[in-house]
Amino acid sequence: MMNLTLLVWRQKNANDKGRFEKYEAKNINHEMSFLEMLDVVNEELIKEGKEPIAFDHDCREGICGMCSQVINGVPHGPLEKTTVCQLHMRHFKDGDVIYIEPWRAKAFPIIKDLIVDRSALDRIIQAGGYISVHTGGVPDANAILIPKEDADAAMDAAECIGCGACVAACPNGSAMLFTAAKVMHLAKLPQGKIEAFRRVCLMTEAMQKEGFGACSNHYECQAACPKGIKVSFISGLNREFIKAQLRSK
Amino acid sequence: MSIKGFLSNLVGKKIVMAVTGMFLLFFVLVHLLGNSSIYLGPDGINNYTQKLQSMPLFVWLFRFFMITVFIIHVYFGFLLYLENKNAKPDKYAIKKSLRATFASKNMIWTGLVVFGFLLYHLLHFTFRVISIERLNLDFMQRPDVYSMVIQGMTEVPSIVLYFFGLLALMFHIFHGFQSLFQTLGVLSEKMHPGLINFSKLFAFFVFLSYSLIPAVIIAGILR
Ligand code: FES
Repeated sequence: MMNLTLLVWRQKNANDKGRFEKYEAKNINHEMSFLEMLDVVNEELIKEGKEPIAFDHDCREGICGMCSQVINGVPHGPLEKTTVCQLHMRHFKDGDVIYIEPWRAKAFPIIKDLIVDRSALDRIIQAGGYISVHTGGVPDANAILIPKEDADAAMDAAECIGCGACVAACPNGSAMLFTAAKVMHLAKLPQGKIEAFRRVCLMTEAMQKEGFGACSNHYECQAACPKGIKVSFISGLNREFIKAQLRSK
Repeated sequence: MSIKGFLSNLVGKKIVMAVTGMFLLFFVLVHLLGNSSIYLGPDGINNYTQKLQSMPLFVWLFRFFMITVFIIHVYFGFLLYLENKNAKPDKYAIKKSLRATFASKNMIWTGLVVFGFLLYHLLHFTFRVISIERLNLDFMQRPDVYSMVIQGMTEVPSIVLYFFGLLALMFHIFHGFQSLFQTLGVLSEKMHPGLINFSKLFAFFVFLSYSLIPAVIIAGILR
């Protein structure tokens, strides 16, 4: 059992200025997840007749990408390749002071407390992160041959759960890692290659329109990504973009 | 995509930074090579200058090209700096840097220092309005760049400014060099750690080899 001091960002809505509020989290079991710890704190707040802390979550098993908190200055907290919901309290010690903040970026307006609006990422996908050519029925196994490295790379890129930690970590609020993962996931596969050039242009344009910054190659995103998406995908996106320019001339 | 579309695209702008940065890096190396002729004594660098002066068209075309590249690099650098700052208006109360370095976070500032240093350097040796009044001819009627540099490199304020200018250039190259490969899409996952280390080494090499000239002069080896 441990006791913690939390400094949590509270903000009523997008227009509110927001501030940190201090809470004591008492009798926290070290086997709880970080979100369960917040559940306990919220129970207490409700008992006291106070507004509970609003935070995003859904699957609580690290696959949906809903949980989104910057814990002591690191998106998803101190553990590498781990979402907040999979972060357990055994990684903290009794008496710790923990700062909890929402993702911060212009493209992610705060809805309430720790919840931000990440629909900008959806709109990047809508701009071109799909395949619209006819791919026919389900092909027989091995009817379409894909080199192992390409299949592996596409699968690695497809691991992105769209949580937005890359944007939260990026000093420029750039969604490059997210966009690169989506672009490369499809560009590596034969069905996706057909529209690859159009896709990379449309998706990067959409990213800019949504108010995300450009990539300065700080590589903060890869370090913060709970799925360990590599910045080499950004290099890949840049390559696709250059190829698209040369092709269209 | 049209040229306008390319230049307004955030990846397009980065590519402009990378390509212009690459030319500037070439210049840094070419300039270093030219400067190294000072180690051959007056015969080296004065001959080199005379050669250059005998082909004014080439020199002016080269200067015009470098100035254009430089202006584009500075313009897009500022543009990206402002856009990126705008994309992250609210700061965290606590933010840990996981991978970002001093160099990567201060490109705009090291760039500005290099810019200021470049102006000083041009006023000092090219236009000679700071301390050196004119370029004399040596006994073989060549422009005596050798004596000019020796004189210029014995003034303490200049030495200090050159040191800081080169230091800023080192940090700028340290992030810029590997960044250019990433932006031009040639960096693979395997090459990544190696290139970052090489980038550091390369930046340090530029710093050391440029600093060697004033160091050798101060030490009295060249006089
Ligand atoms: S709640 Fe689904 S990933 Fe954390």
